[in-house]
Amino acid sequence: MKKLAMIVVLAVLALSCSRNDELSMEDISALTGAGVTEILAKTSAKPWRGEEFTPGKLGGTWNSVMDQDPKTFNILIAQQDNISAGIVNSMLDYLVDYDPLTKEWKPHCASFEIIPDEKTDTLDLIYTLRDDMYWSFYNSNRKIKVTSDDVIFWYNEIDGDPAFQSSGYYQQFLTMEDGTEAHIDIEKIDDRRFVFHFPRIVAEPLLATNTDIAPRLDYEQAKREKGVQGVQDLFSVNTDPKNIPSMGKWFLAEYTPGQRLVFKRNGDYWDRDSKGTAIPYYEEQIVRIIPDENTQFLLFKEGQIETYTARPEDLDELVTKANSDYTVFNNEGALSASFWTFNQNPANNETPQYEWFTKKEFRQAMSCLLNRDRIIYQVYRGLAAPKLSFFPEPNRFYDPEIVLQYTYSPEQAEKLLAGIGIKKDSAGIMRDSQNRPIEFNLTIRSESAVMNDIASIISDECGKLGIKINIRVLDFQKLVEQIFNTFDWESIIMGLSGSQIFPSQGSNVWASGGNLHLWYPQQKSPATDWEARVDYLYNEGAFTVDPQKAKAYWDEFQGILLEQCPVIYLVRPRSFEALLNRWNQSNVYFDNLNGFEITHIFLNQ
Amino acid sequence: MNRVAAAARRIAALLFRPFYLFKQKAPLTAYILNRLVTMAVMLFLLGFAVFGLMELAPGDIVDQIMMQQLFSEGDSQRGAVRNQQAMSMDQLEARRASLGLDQPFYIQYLRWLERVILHHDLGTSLISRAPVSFLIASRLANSVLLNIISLVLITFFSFFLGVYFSTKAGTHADLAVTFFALVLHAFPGMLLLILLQLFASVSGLFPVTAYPPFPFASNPPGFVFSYAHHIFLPLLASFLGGIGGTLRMIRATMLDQLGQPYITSIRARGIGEWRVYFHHAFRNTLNPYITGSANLLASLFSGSLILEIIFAYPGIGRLMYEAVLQEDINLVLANIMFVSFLVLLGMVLADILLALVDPRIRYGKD
Repeated sequence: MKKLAMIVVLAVLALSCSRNDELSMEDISALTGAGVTEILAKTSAKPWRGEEFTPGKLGGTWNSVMDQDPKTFNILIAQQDNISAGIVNSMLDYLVDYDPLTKEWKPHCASFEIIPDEKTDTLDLIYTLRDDMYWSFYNSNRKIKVTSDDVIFWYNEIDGDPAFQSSGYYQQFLTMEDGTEAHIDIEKIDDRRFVFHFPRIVAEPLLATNTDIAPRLDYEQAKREKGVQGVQDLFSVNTDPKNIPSMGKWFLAEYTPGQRLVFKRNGDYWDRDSKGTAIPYYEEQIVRIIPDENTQFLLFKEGQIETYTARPEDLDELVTKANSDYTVFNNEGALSASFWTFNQNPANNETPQYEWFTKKEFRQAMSCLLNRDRIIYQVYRGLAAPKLSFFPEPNRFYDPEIVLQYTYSPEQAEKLLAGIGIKKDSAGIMRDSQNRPIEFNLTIRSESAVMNDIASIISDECGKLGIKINIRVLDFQKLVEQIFNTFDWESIIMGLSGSQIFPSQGSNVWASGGNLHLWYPQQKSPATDWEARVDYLYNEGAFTVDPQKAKAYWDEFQGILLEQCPVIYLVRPRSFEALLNRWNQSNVYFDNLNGFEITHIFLNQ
Repeated sequence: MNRVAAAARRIAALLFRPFYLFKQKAPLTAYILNRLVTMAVMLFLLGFAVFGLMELAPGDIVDQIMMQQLFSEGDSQRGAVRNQQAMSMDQLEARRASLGLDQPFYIQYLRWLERVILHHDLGTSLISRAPVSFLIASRLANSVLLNIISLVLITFFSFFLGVYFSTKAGTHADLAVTFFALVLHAFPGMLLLILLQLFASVSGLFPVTAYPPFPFASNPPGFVFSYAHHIFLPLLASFLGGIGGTLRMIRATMLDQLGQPYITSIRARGIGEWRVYFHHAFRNTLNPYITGSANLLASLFSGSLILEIIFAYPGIGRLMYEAVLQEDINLVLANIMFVSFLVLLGMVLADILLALVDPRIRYGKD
């Protein structure tokens, strides 16, 4: 018997040691392709294309999670912290909406009128606030009307006061044709109307002035009594949140540190459905503070939270669960993408890498070695799309004809490199004209496992051509230090917020003097002719109102950046949202333009 | 020169004579006073080192603020589009200056000390401007509650089992318990927590978080019941992770004591086994335990970071973890100094306890 058992064990061991044939890229593609189809078939695609919302029914509690405590409930301080901003914004509202489908602005809390004066090259933008907006207080009948004074106070006394170091301060200035800076003034017309006087005609005046409406009453009193310090200390996390006025959808009724926040529906909110019921429909929102994503996933599976943003590793489990009590929605690839960029800062001009990176052909060759399809299949399991255009689709100046020409082609990469004297030696190693091997570092953030996989693929693809890439994984703080202070990085993969729905967004990245002009920040004057041209086009485009004229500028702008490859965009991953079926899904939509549209969601009865 | 040295010696003797006389008269009190003074000096140096280390770390909280505005992996545009601008370099410098971060670290430290000692103010969090005392107090009770329950359970069971199995040394039961104690001692705590959480999820018997989803004030009796239900698995993980080491130490020390000649002598005098174990051997077993438990006091007030993250427990560990990541130095320093103070105080208390329980330790002439 013992001998038999031994034989069985040995046989199992022998079988387990047998070598499986490795899958080829074609096999992986075929398998992944089938997997993608299967996953997409099991999920729901429901993009919002401007459909009317059906009236819902009041009631219910919305349970959700966030992974960190809010740091403050003060609007000014919340500018520094995304988590806090999300909480504060639920009690505020903003002036106008941009519809990414029609690519047009539309009223939200205010209607607007743009009056350009060609003769004086000035522009007035008149906003008219809705007449049914109030600052309300939780469990109180007290209501204060929202007026122009709220917006004007914040614009002049908070954003406009440099002592507060608000991120809105510099938005109040325009660069004039002679290079000087001029202020955009605000003026009250009456309680509902106010006007912004632009010293120069700009293409997107609404973008520069669309702002949250903040409560004047508390902040003005704090400033008058205790100055800057008083304003900054207002509505800290140790204040009773019930005292914070709201003109948005929610009152913050409770905050228990480390545990949860409770929001109560603001019945005075102006936005109503076709039957006159104020949205949202659910009465209460409980947000638990759960730092670990795995725990969040477990809570969703237990039905304790209503939605869950699926990570790639959760997707299989989510979509294959039989008799699930939730629906998984999918959307198209994100509008923006992470990118690969190379350090062209002259602080490193004695290194061979500087010599290579400052050559356009080298960056183009690297773009040709970026195998986006492999990244999509291996890292994102087919659930992503390549990012080849510079502007995203909702941008008015998006043109499907203007796309990156330097896509995956090792042959083209080899030709481009040969053009600048970089060739393979007999051992298959790429060397430059001074016989130096082409070798450089690729830095990624330590927090991202996905980036690690992408970097490995890039390294592997370059390795096939004889270029050695050393992957360096760095803590985010150290990485920031290198980018902004020491400049001692070589190449890097990272992502930036914002997706350039408007061409003039990202002035600190694309303009040569920008503090986030990553490859060579804060240039005294443009380091290259093409950067000077980009500066010119950016400036002209931002101040040209006529779309036809502006298009010429923005087309050239995109073309230069796609030709020079200062940044090489990677891929646009799809995202998936799961929602419990206890919620009626007639008003639920999910797409990459409007995100997860659940403002009109209500419970099944 | 010799005269000067001799005069200096005389002055020093004159100055220190009262201390010398006091030490002669009340050695234990003098020892405690000495330890307290040493503690103050150590705390001062520790704070200095913390400020220095934070200075060495790349970036500061202002960089963090700017980075948060600039970098983000994901992106989704909703209806409202605003022209979000990053802060300019001038604004960053102004912010840095307003927080005092443009000063050398020792100046920052001295200012911090002045505020804490003279104004009894721990300051405000650099990022949120909330009072540090509020932020710490809001989580301290949760950490203390969890750690006290865990400590009492571990101490009680490890003492009981350690003493019991030292009397059964060499039996099958003793071997089994020693084996399991060793396994538990070596088992990674994080893995144990994850396994227990998965068990909770699969079985549905326990919640996957360690804290009730509603606050105490809304329903006190319900909260107590719910807390016991929620905390059971994390507490079990903490208990299983902690009992192995203490049990093994108590058992080994008991066995060591039971093999000593004085035990043989006591037994030869016909003293009962119960008295041998608990009055003589066990009392001496406490010596290494007390010596090694100087940080117990601090551990009561410290967080359990991994547990707090995995089981979403609102303790102080998470608060401090985020504060360190964001270089919120006021918050970090207040906590480090508080915990360090408790560690040092624990050491003084452990020494006093040793003097009380171990007749061989005396601070006087005799």
